[in-house]
Amino acid sequence: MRTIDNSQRTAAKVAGVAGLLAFALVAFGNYVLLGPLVIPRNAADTARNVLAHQTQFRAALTCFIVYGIGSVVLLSALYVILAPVNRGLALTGALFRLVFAILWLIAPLNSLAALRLLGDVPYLQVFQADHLQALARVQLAGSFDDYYVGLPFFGLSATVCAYLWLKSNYIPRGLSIFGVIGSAWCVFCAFVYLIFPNFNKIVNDYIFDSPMALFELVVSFWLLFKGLRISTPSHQNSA
Amino acid sequence: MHPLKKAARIAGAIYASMVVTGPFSLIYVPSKLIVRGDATATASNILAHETMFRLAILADLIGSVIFICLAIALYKLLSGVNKTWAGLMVALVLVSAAVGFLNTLNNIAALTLFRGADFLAVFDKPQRDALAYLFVRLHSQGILINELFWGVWLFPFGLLVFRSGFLPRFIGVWLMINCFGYVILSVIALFFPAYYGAAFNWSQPVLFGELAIMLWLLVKGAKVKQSHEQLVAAA
Repeated sequence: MRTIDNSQRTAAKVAGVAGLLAFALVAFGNYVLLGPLVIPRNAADTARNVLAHQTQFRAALTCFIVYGIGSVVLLSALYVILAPVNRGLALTGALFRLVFAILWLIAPLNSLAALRLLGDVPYLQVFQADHLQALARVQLAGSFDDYYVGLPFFGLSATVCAYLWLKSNYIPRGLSIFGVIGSAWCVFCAFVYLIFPNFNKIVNDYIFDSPMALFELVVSFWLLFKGLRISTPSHQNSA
Repeated sequence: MHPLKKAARIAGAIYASMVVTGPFSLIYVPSKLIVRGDATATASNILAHETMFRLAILADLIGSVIFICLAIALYKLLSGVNKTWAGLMVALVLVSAAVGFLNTLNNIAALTLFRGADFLAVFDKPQRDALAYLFVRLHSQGILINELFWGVWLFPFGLLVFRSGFLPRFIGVWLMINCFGYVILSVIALFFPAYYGAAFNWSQPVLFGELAIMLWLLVKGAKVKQSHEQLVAAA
């Protein structure tokens, strides 16, 4: 029977809180704050929206930065929980998520560049307004690319962690198997999308990462409210 | 020398080496070369003192490398207190250092534009200077974002110092307050940029927590309790 020590129990609570808070922040920042401001294929309207709601735009960026911090807390907590199962794989998973967190933080920098291009600064008046709006839109689109470059790393991290969850029996096996499949699917989609940008016309973008996000969300709830499950001999036998 | 004391001194020495690179690239060079809001004057300054600007880029990169070395040295010193918090401290530093590395690309882009290579001839000089100045400003913006990470890593660090028993508890508390100082500064930079300068000046006593721990590690090292056997031997 695999035993669970106090540091793992505490880390499980930390992972639950960090996972849920990070998810809530990124969803709020992206869909409530940033989403309404960005008009697809319309640089001028997007520029007007961003300038008219600068504080809302900056609040969205703050949510994204705090999400980055949450990811680092989460990866540390997951490492503490999963290292006793396999230290090497747990470290690999943590490092993949660290790379994702770093790439994630480039997106707010691109968005701030867009804000600066749209700002009323004298040194940029050598460019026409529509040129600046187009450049700003390119920067905002760059934030989107930052996410998709980071996504394979996020997916790899989640796949490794889901495999360790499966080996550990700390959470229900069905959930772990769903996590392995959903995360591996995300890695596959992310790589295919980088090579074939029209892939999202065949498979909707949301289908890329939603199964993995759902898995991470359910695991966060599980860790926070149910904690780590001690694997019983019957579980061991069935494994 | 006791291994703990030696680890503390090494961490202090690494910390102290940041005193050279940080102020040079963050304060001295920008104050000499960047003319706020004036792309043309900034371009002339940077082109006239290109080596100084390149040294600032190098100092940024070296600073990030030193930061990673510092995290490893502190991990060695403090992982015995609590491995989880020490690991979190290192992870936060790694993110911050990576953002610092990437941020230097903004200054390199600015320099490329200021110099105006052949392939940039489609832009006239005022346009190149304006774009280059934009990259200089983005570098500053990147520093302000990174400030959040300069803050958050201090929380696990301060907590470990507080719990260590071989470093002063008041410095641990100071470091945790220092963490919130940077976080608040970063939020002010994002939402109320006009007040950032004043807030930075007022927050100096809080931000000196890092200076305090650096000097303590370097000068005093760690307070090591001697074992009974060592006391007998010394007697």
